Amino acid sequence: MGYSISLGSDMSQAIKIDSRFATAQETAHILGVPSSRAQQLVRLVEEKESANERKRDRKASKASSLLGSKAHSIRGSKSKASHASRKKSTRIKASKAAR
Amino acid sequence: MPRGRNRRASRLQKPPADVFLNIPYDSGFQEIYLAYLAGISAFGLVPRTTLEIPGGTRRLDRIFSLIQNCQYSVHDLSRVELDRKRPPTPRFNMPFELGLSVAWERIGRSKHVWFVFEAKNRRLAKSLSDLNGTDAYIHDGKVMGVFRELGNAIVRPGRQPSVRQMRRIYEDLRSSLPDILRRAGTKSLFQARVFREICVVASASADKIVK
Repeated sequence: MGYSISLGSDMSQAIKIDSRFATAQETAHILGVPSSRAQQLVRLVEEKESANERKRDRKASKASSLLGSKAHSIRGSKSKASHASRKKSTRIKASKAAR
Repeated sequence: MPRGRNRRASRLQKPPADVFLNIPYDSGFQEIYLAYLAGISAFGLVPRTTLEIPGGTRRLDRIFSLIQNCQYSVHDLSRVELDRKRPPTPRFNMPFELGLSVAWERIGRSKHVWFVFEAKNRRLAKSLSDLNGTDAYIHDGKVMGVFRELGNAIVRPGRQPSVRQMRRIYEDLRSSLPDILRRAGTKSLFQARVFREICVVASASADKIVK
């Protein structure tokens, strides 16, 4: 039983893996970790991963809300600017009329 | 494809492959060591090291048998310099184990593929000129460098981990370490029990993250 690609002396060529992706249980079995301990470790990873996911979600929602408020503020400043320019143009018109 | 058929197909595949990891066991190398464990596990492979070898047995025989049982080997030659302990001596273990792997690849009955990793470019040509013409994977002594180079060396069609995914597995390992070390009653990562449990965590994390 051999693996499909041999590298030989050409190390720059990547090798292709065709073996099964090891599960935690398989790794534990190969390395001699008791299955009860392996289950504990898997649970530990799952807890950490779900905590990380929650963290990422919170970050993403915070970022999106920040983006929203930024867009709102940009819109606000734009409207303020247009209001100011309108004011200025009326002032000019008024001064022209006075002249 | 129905779930049952999928499961049957994965059972028909070759069993998970082992990777012999030949690295220095010193505190300055802990981060890179964890990076290798995370990276190798990200490809669905099982890391094996000489840490698993119990004392009292003839070490060389056990090391060679470990190499023979692995389809791949990763040799990190980034710590070839003299150590600080008196008398200052170079580390011969890593190049020696690389030599064993090369010999096994040449004369062994089953296929064996070996990789050389280094921190500095072109140093290998100076430290081990017998390997001239062999390109080492240069990780620059950085965790992300290890992930990048593992990605250059290994390809898993359909489930190729990204550097980012390897980084996430690495972070899972780091956050699990206090629990593993506390239970093992040690502060060192280079203990057989700690190594085994880190590998199980890495494998669980990889199976969840790399889809």
